[in-house]
Amino acid sequence: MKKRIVTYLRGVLTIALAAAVLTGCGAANSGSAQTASAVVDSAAEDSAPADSQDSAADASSEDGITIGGLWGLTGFIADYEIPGSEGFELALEEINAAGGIDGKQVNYVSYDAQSDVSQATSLTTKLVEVDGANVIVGLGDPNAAIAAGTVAQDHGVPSLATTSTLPYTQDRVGDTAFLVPYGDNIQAAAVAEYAYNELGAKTAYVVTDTTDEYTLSLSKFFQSHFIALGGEVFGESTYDDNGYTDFSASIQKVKALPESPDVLFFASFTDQGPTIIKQYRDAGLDQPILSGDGLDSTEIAEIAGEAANNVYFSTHVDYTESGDVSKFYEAYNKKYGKEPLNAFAALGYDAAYLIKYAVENYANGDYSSESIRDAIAKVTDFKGLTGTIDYSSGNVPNKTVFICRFNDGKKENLTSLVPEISADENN
Amino acid sequence: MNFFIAEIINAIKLGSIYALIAIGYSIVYSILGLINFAHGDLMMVAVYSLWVLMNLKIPFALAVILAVIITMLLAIITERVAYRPLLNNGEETLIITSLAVSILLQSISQAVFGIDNKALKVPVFFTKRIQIADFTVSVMNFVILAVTIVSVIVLAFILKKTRIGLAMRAIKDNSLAADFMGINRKAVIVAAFGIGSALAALAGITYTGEYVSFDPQMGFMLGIKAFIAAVIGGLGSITGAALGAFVLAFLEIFFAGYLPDSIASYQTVFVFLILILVLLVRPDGLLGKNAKRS
Amino acid sequence: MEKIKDKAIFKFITVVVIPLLILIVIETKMNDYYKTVVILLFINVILAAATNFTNGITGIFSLGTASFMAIGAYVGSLLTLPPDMKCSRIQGIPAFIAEIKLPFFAALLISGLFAAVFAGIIGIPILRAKGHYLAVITLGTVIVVKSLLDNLTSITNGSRGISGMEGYSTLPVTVLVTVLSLYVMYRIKTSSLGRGMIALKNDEDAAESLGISRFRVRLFSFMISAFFAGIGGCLWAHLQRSIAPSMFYLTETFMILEMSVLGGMESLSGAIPGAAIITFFPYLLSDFSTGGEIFGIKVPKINGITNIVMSVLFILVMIFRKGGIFRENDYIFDAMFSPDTYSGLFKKEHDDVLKKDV
Repeated sequence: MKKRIVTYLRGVLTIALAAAVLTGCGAANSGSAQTASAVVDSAAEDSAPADSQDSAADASSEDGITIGGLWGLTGFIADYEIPGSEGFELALEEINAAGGIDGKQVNYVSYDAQSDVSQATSLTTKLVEVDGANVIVGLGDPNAAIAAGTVAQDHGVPSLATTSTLPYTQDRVGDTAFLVPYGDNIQAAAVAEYAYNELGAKTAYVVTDTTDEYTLSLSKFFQSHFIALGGEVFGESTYDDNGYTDFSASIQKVKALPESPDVLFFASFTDQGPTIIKQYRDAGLDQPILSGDGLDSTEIAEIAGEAANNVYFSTHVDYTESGDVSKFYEAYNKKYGKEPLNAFAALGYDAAYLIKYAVENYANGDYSSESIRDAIAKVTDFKGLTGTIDYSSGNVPNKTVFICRFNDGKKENLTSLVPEISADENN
Repeated sequence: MNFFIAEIINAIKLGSIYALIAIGYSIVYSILGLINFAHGDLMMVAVYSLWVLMNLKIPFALAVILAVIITMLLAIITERVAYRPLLNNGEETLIITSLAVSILLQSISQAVFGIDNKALKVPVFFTKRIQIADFTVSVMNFVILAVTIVSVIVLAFILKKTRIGLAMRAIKDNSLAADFMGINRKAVIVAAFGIGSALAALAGITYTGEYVSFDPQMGFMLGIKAFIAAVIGGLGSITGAALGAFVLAFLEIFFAGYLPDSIASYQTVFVFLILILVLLVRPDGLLGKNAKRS
Repeated sequence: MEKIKDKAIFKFITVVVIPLLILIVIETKMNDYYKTVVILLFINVILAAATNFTNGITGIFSLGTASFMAIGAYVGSLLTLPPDMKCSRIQGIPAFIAEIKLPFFAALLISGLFAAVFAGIIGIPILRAKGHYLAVITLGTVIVVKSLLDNLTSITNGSRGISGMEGYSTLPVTVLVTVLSLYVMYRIKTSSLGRGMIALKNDEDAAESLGISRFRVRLFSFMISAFFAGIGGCLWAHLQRSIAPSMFYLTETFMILEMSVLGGMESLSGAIPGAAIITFFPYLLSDFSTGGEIFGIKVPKINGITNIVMSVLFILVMIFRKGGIFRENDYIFDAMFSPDTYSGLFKKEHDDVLKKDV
């Protein structure tokens, strides 16, 4: 008898718990830049039957804009997104210290999307609906950026991706999705041009990680541009990242080629980078290794050691430049007590100043999401750390690509170039 | 021909590592009837411990020994805390708990050390390449093989010649009778976990010594593969586990090496098909006797 | 004297009226974010209940729910996407797949059927295995399905995934589908076939001696479970509107298992609290993962805190309450789907008493 009552209570409790959590979770999730009570207020506002989006937008036009940060701080994309979020937060701190945007302090709410697409979509909804974000930054890897960007698109909120370099973002998501970095077509073409022109490479062999949109498109664009330049691709081997650490099969295939390729192109992420580089080097394949910004990490040189010599990759910034870049470099060092792990810190930093630039120049004091989207689309000449951003010909900027290499455990900047790509290569 | 020999060298290397893990599975299984999903993660624990110890400037040899001991202690603690209260609660309970332990170990190391890859820098001696005819083989390759062979010999000695080994075999052959004979089952279980985790630790260290980089998730997939190896060879049998490990490694390497890329990318699918096939044709594995528990 | 909890009016209010009111409030008053979380909750309930159907009720310990969910998600998405979108985004897609465009509910049903057929095909060999073997093989199906989705690029677009689905999984649709799914599963569970399943779990030999075909019943249960997992996957795809193979992998597998086990594997009702905990917990804990404040208390940043808390909770549940929250009790659905709850409303008190005496 007693047991049955307990059973019954359990049923009621379950329902009550569901209800309590539902109404309570808005309050529990306070962003780092807002106080808990402020969020309670805005949540209360939003649960009013009135059109919540408008009320959130109205509220923010008095207080300045609200930026929603959606970063993959844990999970596989964290290597890129942690520096990105740190760069962004540093810039935001500077902007707010200098009076904010249009003289108004910027609100900032951020969440960890855990490199997980379902988290990314529901947190984007939260940023837009609950926190009243007028613009979303970060967004994670291409898959997450598409999913989160689509949610933002539906609400008419602009999104600025700092990590995803997917060239067809606009086609997949819509006109509210912008990239801060260049697209994979540009960086892969730049690497191909560097290899063909500077390294004198005429033949290449490609190894592709098939588990992400990024590596797939990087590999595709490299091959098409290298061939367009007049080079020859001997072949491609693929691997999936599912606990795969032995590359001996692909190494043996390269060794079995009648002629050794002049260069190797690895479309891979940081986590597999050192392993694959080391195994190829150990097998006696000493030709230059090329890759995209996925390999931009000082960790690689540390992990792979000498094997990482003669590894070339594209990146977004040259941290040895003087002027703004060196100021950023020092400020970052001072705030976080470390050097930026990769160029994504600078991209995050640029994203914040890009928003400031767009809003101050083109939004005319109207802070609705729509107006901010239009303002960002009007940007033609924003000079950031990572080059000049111009959205006049599409939402993916055509920026300068920096080519680096690892040398004795250090990253070394070599040159920068803007590749020429024919239109039919972009598909 | 060169390609063929290079592939054989690779298969032996991979097989040795699988064998170390698979034998550990088998030992724990034969005593407890438990498939410890967290077994693979013990490799990861060993590697992180070694990495921390080496960062503390502890000499390599000592650090390896300490890392193995830490891993053994952790395995014995998890057994005491998580598995022992559940011994009579049925198979699923143990499977679920061991999965939970696996996630716990991975998340803790992620929280403490971060998700990113780290590098294990073993002394230069191990990474030296030796030129034999047309092939370059690292010293680590020989170390891996040697560690596996020595471990198997030591293990055989423990099982055949020591009291605890005798008790283990007794429990494996006839659990009930062993209880009647007054064998201290708890001590045997602790010993089984200790030995199994020590082997996993050695596997983790040699594996990372060869492949350099490691992360919190490194052990899970290797653990699953080793489990498949143990099943192919015959769960509960040590020779079976070793045999299964080499069979799996050879199949995997040659599958990836000799088939066109478009098919070779289905390597994972292929591994599981082998597992299903073995279970259909020889449910007790290549060398397995009738499984003790049913 | 009848206990208050057995009164029809009480059951009716607690399991029908109150949830319905909450849902109406959410649908009309709340913004998209809360709706999304609640939709996610309902989808998780289907997935957890489908898992309980095999794992707790029939005694087939399967870790494969995420793979059936994946099949449902992909089939459903491919069936509802407009043909021109499929052609432009998925290179080399066979024409007959590209040209199909079905209404959502047809796609939903077919996605469930596909998952069930897949389960039937793999079930024939793998259901011979038991215990850990089955656990690992079904975990293997998750790995294999992901590998297939990654590699069959001309249909699945590989790891690039598919995006652009319409947001068909609105709250009313999801609730309707969930309730229907739960109703069907509950009916099967309480039918003679369902009793056969439970009998098989409890004592295989005895059940077989009573003429219950072990193989057929297990296969049937496996397929039913896959069917609803497929439905859940299809709903999920039309909520997230972007899918990729990596979403139906180990993380999802553990999540489903956690929901199933915490709520109580042997009870379909257990799916509700199990799914509620797993759906809401990450949101409650998300402040720990970014640092910041929770209820005014400063919390340090702990990466992956959700998983740590969940797995510890998981081990504790296993040790202290193996049956999860609901054990084998099915209070919620017994009340929700029993005709007595509804007819009892119109009967007089003494009718109930009379009935009880009989």
